[in-house]
Amino acid sequence: MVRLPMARVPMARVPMASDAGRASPPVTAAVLAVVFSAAAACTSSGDAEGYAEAERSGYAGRLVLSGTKPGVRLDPHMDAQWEVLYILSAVYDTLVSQSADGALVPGLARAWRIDDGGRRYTFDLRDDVTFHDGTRFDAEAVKFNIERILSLGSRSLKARALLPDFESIDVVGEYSIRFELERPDNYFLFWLSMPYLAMVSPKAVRTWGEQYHHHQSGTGPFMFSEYVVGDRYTLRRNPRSDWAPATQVEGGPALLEEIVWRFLPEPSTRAPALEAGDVDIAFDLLPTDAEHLARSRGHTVSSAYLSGQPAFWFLNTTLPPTDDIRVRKALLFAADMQAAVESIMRGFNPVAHGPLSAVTPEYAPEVENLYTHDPERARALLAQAGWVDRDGDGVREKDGRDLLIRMSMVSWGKSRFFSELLYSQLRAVGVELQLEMMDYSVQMEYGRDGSKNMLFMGGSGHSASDSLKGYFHSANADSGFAWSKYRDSTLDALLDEAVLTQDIELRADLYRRAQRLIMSQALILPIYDYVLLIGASKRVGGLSWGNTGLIPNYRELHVDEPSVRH
Amino acid sequence: MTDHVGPDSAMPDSGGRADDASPQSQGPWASALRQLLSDRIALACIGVLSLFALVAAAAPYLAPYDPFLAQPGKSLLPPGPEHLFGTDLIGRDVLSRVVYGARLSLVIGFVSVGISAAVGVVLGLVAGYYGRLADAVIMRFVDMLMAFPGILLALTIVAMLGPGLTNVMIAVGIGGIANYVRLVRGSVLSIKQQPYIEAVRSVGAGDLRIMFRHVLPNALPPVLVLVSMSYGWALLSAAGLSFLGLGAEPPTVEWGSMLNDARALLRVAPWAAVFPGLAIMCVVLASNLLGESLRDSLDPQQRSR
Repeated sequence: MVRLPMARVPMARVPMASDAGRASPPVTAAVLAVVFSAAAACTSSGDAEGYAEAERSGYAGRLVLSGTKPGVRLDPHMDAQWEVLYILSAVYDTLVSQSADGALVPGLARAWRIDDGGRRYTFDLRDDVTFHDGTRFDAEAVKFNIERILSLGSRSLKARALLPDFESIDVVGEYSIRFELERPDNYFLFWLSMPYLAMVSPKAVRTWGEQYHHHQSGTGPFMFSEYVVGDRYTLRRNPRSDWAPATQVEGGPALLEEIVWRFLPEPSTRAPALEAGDVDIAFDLLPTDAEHLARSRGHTVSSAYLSGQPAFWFLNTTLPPTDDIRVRKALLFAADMQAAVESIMRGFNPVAHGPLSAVTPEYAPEVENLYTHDPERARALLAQAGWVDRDGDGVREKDGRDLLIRMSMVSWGKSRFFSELLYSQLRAVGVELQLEMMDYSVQMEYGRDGSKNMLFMGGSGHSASDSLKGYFHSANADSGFAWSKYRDSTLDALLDEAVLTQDIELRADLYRRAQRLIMSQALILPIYDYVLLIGASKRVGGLSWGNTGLIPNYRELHVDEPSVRH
Repeated sequence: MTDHVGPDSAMPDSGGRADDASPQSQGPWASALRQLLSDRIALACIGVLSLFALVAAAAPYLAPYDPFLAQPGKSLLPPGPEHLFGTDLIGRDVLSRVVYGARLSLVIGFVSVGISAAVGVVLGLVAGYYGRLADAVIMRFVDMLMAFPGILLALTIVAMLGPGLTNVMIAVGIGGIANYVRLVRGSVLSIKQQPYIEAVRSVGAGDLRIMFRHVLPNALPPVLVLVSMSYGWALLSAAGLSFLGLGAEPPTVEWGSMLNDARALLRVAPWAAVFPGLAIMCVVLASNLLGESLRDSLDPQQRSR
């Protein structure tokens, strides 16, 4: 790949007048690079043709990516959106990295040691890493980063919550740092692998303060170039990057010259933008659009399966009628989520069967056979529980009260369609689903005071640890997110013990038992596993999404065919 | 409709004369009605609106399917013999939903306009009749309402009251009040100066009697026009609020929320959005055109021309 001068290069979509193209040196360089890579890619086009094509596409080493709407800051330590993961993983590196199968491997930390029953973590850092602003990455920088997150407090929407409580953070050598935790936390390494806890340059943060998001500086394969809030986020290759984590095939600098992120908050506009050639990769497509796109020539659709929490409805175990386990089980038997996912998610998402998505390493596949769609069984369970339709209005009653399930819906994603479909499916077995659309803050209130039977939840966890304890442990029933409000010492003990267990197999076993318990008690009605649908122009190569599905490998992303634009 | 062609062309002259002299004439209302019935556009509009009202009333007999019945296996079927308007994402029959949606959408429009007209007319009467302080207070209130575009005002009110159908009707109703107040106040100001009002007052009639018995009936014709014109606006605004997810809540069937559901599918399944959209368009267009015809027929100057 030819290295180009870092001068401003015209946007790919702007047609250049040919004389202007010859006049400006950087443009000529760009064109040459295109011709070079076109030849390297063994395209049969002659030189002249390649030249013309190249002139049209402008810059082969440049890709335009589109995502949804980022937070205003797009600061890894402050924002919580998925964009933090899939945009900022190009700019920042993490201490620990994840391999494709979810194993934790060295990143900026060369090695680590865990002592004292999981309370003491000592990291040996790489000594050959520099931030984009030229400062050196060392143990002091790591300490600065962790302390920055801690000091952000509630301004940190995600990162702060991922950190354990520290007793002390000590720099024990120039490239060695030790964390003493108040309690053992077996997911500390996992969290350190998420870009929410990525390493930012202490110097840049000190210099720019509140304006840091316009002057970002990390250690990643791409350097921050420009951020126009709500419009675009431009990155260019970090020529010095030579410290790719062991998981990535390519060491050395990234293959691409430049990445431009465009923000298209309206989901239905992303596929048309891709088809029009305005963007090369579109993240987070609608399933219906992805289906349409998959049939078109010139584009590929790939699915990134997300680990952690799937989409589901909590079933409140304290509010009648769902306080009766027979009613809860009847709901699960009556709901045909397989058909629902087929139609609403167009078959892209796997149907969920429990509180963890199938790609999570601790997933318990045995929960899959617990509730296969069986309306007859649902009717029998409801009759057993004393709910019978005596007045013939199609809704069952008991003691003069209709079998009414109260659900609060959220407006995001596809949850509304699932609610409406469930409404239809439950009516078939004599259950009236009462739907209400409320703001998320109101929904949280409902979750805490337990005034609804069903509440939507999903996509809030990336691992077994953060997807289960916060949502099922009885300690979180009154003020947290355990909206089933199920209080059971066995489940609590399983979740508590899992956090303390070092052995990966033993821990996974504890989590599997917890999943079986959650589903045998019918605490949730699972809907679907999250899948990020990514459409890409055929000229894009080297796409991969990592184990969590949200951390692309930007070093290997490249352009296969330099100049096919649609 | 062709049998109206004859009278139509003869109408303007005879109507004008009948109004003044003919004993069989019941006054301006009857003549306006006759003129209206001779207007082909007005008749077509009345036809369209009645048709939709009929569809709404007979929805259970007309809809081929249960509008709530989701058949995920039949998701996004294009229009065909089995589903004339196709199916939506979760396999519900679009035709049945458009038919049932007529019930709510039409009623929302009526109630909203009812609220605007009732409140607006009373405020306008009071402001115009009493003048002075009452006028100043009411008109400043109206100025306040006028400061915001109708839909924005409705949006603000829904944001305050919370989403839901009732609140949408109230919001759209309030959003339309200002026009009625200004219109009625203007009419009242001129009617108030008429000698016959002086005459009624001199025989000892009270304010309320004069206002409602003698002023109001004469201020009504333009109100009627405004009702017809703003019905379309109200229905559209309510549908707009539902489209934004602030109005009808699922699984309620309403045209605006159907549009919202289908918005993201426009490229892959246009039928899910086109049919409710067409329904809205027909009703809004019909009520607007009817309003214009009404205005022409109720305007004495137009008539005598």
